[in-house]
Amino acid sequence: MNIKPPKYAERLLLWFLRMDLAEEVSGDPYEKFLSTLKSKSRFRAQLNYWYQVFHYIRPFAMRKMNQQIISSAMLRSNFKIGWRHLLKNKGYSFINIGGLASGMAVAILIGLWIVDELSFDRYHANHSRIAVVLRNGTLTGQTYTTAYLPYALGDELKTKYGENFKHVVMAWPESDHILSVGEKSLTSNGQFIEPAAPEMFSLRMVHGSVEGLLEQNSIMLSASFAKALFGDTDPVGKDLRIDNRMDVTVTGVYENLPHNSHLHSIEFFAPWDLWVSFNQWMLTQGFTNNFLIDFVVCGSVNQRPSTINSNPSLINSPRLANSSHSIFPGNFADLCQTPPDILRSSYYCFVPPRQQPRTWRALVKRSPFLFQVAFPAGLCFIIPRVFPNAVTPSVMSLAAM
Amino acid sequence: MKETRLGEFEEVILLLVGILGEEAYAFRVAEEFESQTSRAVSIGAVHSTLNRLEGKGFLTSEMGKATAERGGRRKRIYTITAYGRRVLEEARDFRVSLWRQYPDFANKRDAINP
Repeated sequence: MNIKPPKYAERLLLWFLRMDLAEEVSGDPYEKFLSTLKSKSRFRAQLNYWYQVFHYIRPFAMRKMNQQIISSAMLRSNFKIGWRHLLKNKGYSFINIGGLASGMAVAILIGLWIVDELSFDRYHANHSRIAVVLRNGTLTGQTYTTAYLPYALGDELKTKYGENFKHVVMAWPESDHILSVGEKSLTSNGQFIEPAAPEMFSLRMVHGSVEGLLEQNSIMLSASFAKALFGDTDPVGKDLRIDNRMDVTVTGVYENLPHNSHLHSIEFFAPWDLWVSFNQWMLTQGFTNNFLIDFVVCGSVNQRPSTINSNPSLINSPRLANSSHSIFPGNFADLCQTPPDILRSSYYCFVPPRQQPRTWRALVKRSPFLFQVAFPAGLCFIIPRVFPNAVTPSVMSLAAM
Repeated sequence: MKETRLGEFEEVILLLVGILGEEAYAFRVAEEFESQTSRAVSIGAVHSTLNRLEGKGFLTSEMGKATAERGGRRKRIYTITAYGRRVLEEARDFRVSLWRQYPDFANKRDAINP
C-alpha cells in the first residue's frame, strides 16, 4: 500500500513555503495524512492533504519571492567588483567606455539629424500641398535646375491653369533691405510676396491679421525682428521706410518660423505690388528674364503637387521623372507668347518642399559617409557592449580593431 | 506595538497548548481542537495562530526530536509563557466578572443547563 502523500501537493507546499519552516510544516500534513488513512479511504486522505496544503498559503508561511533576486548587498558588491575591474584594466576600460560613448554619440547625432530633416517645413499646416516651381533648362549641353522664373509665368499659371491651384503666389527672392524707423536703421532679410502668402504658409500672428499684405504700403515683421526694431511695444500701425524709398505701415507681427524651415531666415514680408511699383522694368520682361520665385498651393487636401502634374491639361508629353519631380513638358513654352530658344528647351516642375531631398534614400545619397561608415561603426561599438553574449568573438575582434 | 488582546480562537488555542503540554505542536493542537469543539480546522490556520501568539509573547517554541511517524522530520513544540498564562487568567476573570453582573445568573443557568 502506497502511504506517500500526493506528490504534486507536496511539491507545491515546498515551493511556496519559507525555507526555515519547511521541516516543521511539511511534517504536520503528513501526520494528518497518515491518521486520516487509518479511518478513511486513501482518496479522502489525499484530498485532505491537498486541503491542508492550500490552507498553508498564508502570509506568515510564504517565502518572499524576490528576496534572492534583488538584494542590495549583492548589488553593492557587484558594483564594487565592477569598479575595481575598471580601475585594474584602465586601457581596456578606456577603449570600452570610449568606444561605447563615441558609438552612441554618432548614433544619437544621426538620429537627431534625421528627425530634423524629416520634420523640415512641417510648421506649415498645408506643407504637403505647397510647392515651389522649379525650372529645368539646358545650356551648352548642361542641364541645370533653378528656382528663378520669368515674370510672365506667374500670370500664365493664374490665367490658364488657375483652377488647379488654390493660390499662385509670386515672390521676389529673399534679399537684404534696410528698414528704418526714425533714426534707427537695421539691415534685414525679407521677401516681397503676394498677399495670400501669410495664409498659405499658415503664419501664426502675434499682432495684426494674416491679411496684412493686402494694402500696398504694408509690411509684416517676424516677432524677433519686431522686437529688435520696436522693443516690447505693439508695432502695428507704426511707420517704416524700406531702402530709404518705400514708405510702409506695419500691419502684422508673426511668430518666428522654426530653424528647420525654408523661410526661417526671412524677417519680413512686404507686398509684391509694392516691389513691382518700384521696379516697373519687370513688367516688360515677359518670358525672357528669370528672376522671381513662384509658390503654388493645390486646391484640395487630396490634391498634392505631384498629382497636379499628372493632369492631362498640364502635361502634353508623359515625361515624368518620378512622382516628386513631375514635369511641365517642354512644349509648355509653346503656349507662351514669346518663345525664345532658351525657353523651348526649358520645362517646369513643381517640387513640394517636403519632397525635395527629404527621403531616406535621399539622405543616404547625400551623406554616404555617415550611413556607410559612421553608422555601422557606431553599431559595431554598441552592440557587443550592450549584448555581449549575442555577438560572436570574430565580430568582437572586428569591433575592437 | 503588537496587539495584545486575545481573540476567541486565540484563547482556545492558547488553552489547548497549555492542556497538551509536551505534545503541543501544530498537528496535535488542530486535532485536539477538532475533537474538543467538533469544528473543522486546518493545520495551516492553527499554525498561523500559534505563530502570531508567539510573536505577541504568549508562547515560546523550540524544535523537538525527530520521530519516525513524521518521516524523520522534527516538530516545533510550543510552550505557554508566564505572560500568556496571565493573559488567559485576565480573560477568564473578565468574563467571570461580567457573568457576576448578569441578572439572576445562578437561576437562569440552572434553568438552561440543569
